Amino acid sequence: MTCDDLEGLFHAYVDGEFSDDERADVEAHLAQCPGCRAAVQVERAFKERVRQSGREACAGNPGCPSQLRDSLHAALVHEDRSRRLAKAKMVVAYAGLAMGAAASLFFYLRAAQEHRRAETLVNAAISYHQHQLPLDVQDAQLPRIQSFLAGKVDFAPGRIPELHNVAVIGARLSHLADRQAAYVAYGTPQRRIGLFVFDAPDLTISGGRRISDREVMLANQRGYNVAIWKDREIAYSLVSDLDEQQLLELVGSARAPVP
Amino acid sequence: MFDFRQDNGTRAEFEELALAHLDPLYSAALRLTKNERDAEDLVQDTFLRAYRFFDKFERGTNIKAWLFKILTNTFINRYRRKVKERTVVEGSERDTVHERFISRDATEYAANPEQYFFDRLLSDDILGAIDQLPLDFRLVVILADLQEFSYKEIAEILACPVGTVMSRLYRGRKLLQKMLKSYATEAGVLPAPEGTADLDEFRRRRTSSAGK
Repeated sequence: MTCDDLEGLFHAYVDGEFSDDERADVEAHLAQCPGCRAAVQVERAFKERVRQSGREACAGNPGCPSQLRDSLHAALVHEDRSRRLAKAKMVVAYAGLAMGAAASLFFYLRAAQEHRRAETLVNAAISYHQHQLPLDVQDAQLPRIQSFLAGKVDFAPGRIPELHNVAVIGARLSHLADRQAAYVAYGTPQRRIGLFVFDAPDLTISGGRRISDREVMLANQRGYNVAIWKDREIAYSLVSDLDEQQLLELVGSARAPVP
Repeated sequence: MFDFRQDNGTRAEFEELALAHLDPLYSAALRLTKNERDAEDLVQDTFLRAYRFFDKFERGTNIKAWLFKILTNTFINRYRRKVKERTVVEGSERDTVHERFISRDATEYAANPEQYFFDRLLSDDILGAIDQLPLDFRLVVILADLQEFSYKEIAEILACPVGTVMSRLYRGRKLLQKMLKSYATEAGVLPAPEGTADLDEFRRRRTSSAGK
């Protein structure tokens, strides 16, 4: 080892950063080099002097003021308290969030279920109507059709309405999806307008138009317009190839004759 | 997350571990901020931060170094506005390699009793000179000489390589010695270095003695 090797490393040596065998090398060099030895001694003395001045400052100054110690403790207690408060707020927020999520899921599922149910009704109504199945009774007089249906359907046949400017031509006992229904045909045999009438206390009609105080759901599929509405527990599904406006006018005119 | 009861136990553990190092932290804070009020604020900030991040502290490792890391980070972040000071330091640090070639330690220290001039200085002067060091040098001198951390610990505290710690410490101590030497000269503890005869100084002295 030479003086050049040690150049700039006296501090590290004095700070005890050298490993044992490195130290042995340095000591061997110091033993025969008065210049480096002096440098090490001065650096060591300087370091000790700085350290001592720090210790003296500590002795003159009793260290951390005791009121700081107290206020630190108080700050930590306060920190705990506010953390607890934050946690409690979080619990409330999470609970609110969970409830909100559950509620919106519930509404979403219910809406989806209603939508599916309505879709099924629309599809079934169109399919049935499309087949133009023979009517069980043909009559231009609504009361006679009503009396034919009496006892055959699970609702009061009096609830079958007249439609404005369109004559009734007959009726057929049918099913709509899994519900028993009366299929009543209006118009002409060549151009039928079909009306399904069925008992549906569970069905809710929503998201549609309001026609003379009724919530009416409209759908258009396979070239047919379908209107579904409810009147005091009885549901009606009107199927035709009329346009939407004409269909809505018919819906507005549909009135069960007062018995 | 929703367990409220653990707080008290955690706080007791934290207080037991951390408050033991309050005095060294406070004295380092005092050297960094240079006044008691700011030092108290800095220590309080440090403890609150440390408490907030206590779950990140690896139990069984060096808590004193961990607390000092938080202290220096808090201090540096708070005083980051003083960007200028830091840039100056970065610049002078680059000169270190060059300086090694021009200043020859061994010849400089040729057995000369005046090299021990610092023994005749007041502790307050030494601390005052440390306070004047640029921040990066002040940090390593405080950590190595006043707090007696190893280079490896300092590297961890300052998040820099050991080599950087070494060169900053070298530069910092040299600068400190230079400052103290000029204090000592002013105080008359050390004679003015040879070859710096000052004509202006001579004339001033001459005029003032002539006025008597």
